[in-house]
Amino acid sequence: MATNLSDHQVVNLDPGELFVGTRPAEVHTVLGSCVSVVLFHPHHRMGAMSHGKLPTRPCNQPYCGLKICRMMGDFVSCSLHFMLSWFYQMGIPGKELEVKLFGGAMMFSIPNNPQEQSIAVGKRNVETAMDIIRAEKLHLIASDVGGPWGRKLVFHTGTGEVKLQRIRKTVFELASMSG
Amino acid sequence: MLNELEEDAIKEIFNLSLGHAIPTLSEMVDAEIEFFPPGIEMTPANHLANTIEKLMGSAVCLVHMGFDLVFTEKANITGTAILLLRSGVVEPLLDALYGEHVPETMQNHVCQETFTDVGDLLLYTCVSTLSRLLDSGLEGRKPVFFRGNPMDWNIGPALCLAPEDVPHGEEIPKETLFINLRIDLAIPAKKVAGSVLIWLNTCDKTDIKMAIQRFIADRID
Repeated sequence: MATNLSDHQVVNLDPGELFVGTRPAEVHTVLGSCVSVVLFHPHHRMGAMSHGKLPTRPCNQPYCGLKICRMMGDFVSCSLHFMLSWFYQMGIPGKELEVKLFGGAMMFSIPNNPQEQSIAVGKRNVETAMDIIRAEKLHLIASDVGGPWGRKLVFHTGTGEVKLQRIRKTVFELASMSG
Repeated sequence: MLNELEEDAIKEIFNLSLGHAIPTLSEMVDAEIEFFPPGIEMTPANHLANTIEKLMGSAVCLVHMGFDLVFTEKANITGTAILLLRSGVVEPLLDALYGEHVPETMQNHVCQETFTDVGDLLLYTCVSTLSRLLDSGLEGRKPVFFRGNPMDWNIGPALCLAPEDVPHGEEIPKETLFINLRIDLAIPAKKVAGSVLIWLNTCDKTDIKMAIQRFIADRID
């Protein structure tokens, strides 16, 4: 959903969605164990942001081009690869991008009962993002991950600035948060 | 190898790099982190483990990550970034990361995985900024965990030395000199202290000096 303001749009990013843009926008999202990867090109002032719910899934990506799947935005790996492809198609190499990583609540937690097993998804989301960041030789310049709290993010695509507010939640609330 | 100005510049680059990375750790432990002015010395490869033992004693916990700063196909700097802790502070740091006391029975199980994840984020962010400040590409390797006596640490792979430089079972060549940068840090609220180290292989001496000189020139402009 997008709202027009005078000089830029406000975009609300739901779980499983992603945003790429060449014009200034303010992208809002709320994270629990989900992970948002923010990509920004400081010279061209272009930004992208994902909101992945799950780490990855087996996929036969064609070598001849980019396949866009129905559930692409749900997965940290698929959404990050898509956003990178978008920059690459614009002629922007990965090493020029500033990367920021957020979310992955309950990355570190002691499983006391089976209900909490699902919490480890935050850790797996962060690990998946880090594996791709390393493989694509990207520069990670900031991160705020883990912890027993949710996060509200506002990403200004024109400046690369990310405002972050922590949302205190209980373990079980976090586990049930869709984001 | 480096003149006084170059030494100051590389210390400043390291300081800025770790300054970018520290909030990552600070958010994870939910506490303020203090860090101290960087130190620099030139250390032969076969003395690097001794410097760790001298600094932290015979029981340490560390995560190391090899990296290359790539300038051109033929010009690069090889280095190693290390998060170093005394073994004794591992338990309070685990408690801080988990936000609750980690039972003794689980500590060994979670220690390696947790510190590898933390080291990965902290060291990769630090090295990313280092790479950006020196205007290079970055190739970071997977982080590796070690806990024990630093003198038992198989340091060859950590230094990313070519296999022909360290034949199996032989000692690290003492003639290989490293720029040994160190920043000490403390988390007073959790009574935890440690260090972050960057070791740069001076076999790439010309590339290091050129990268630092470019950084200095950019600042003067």
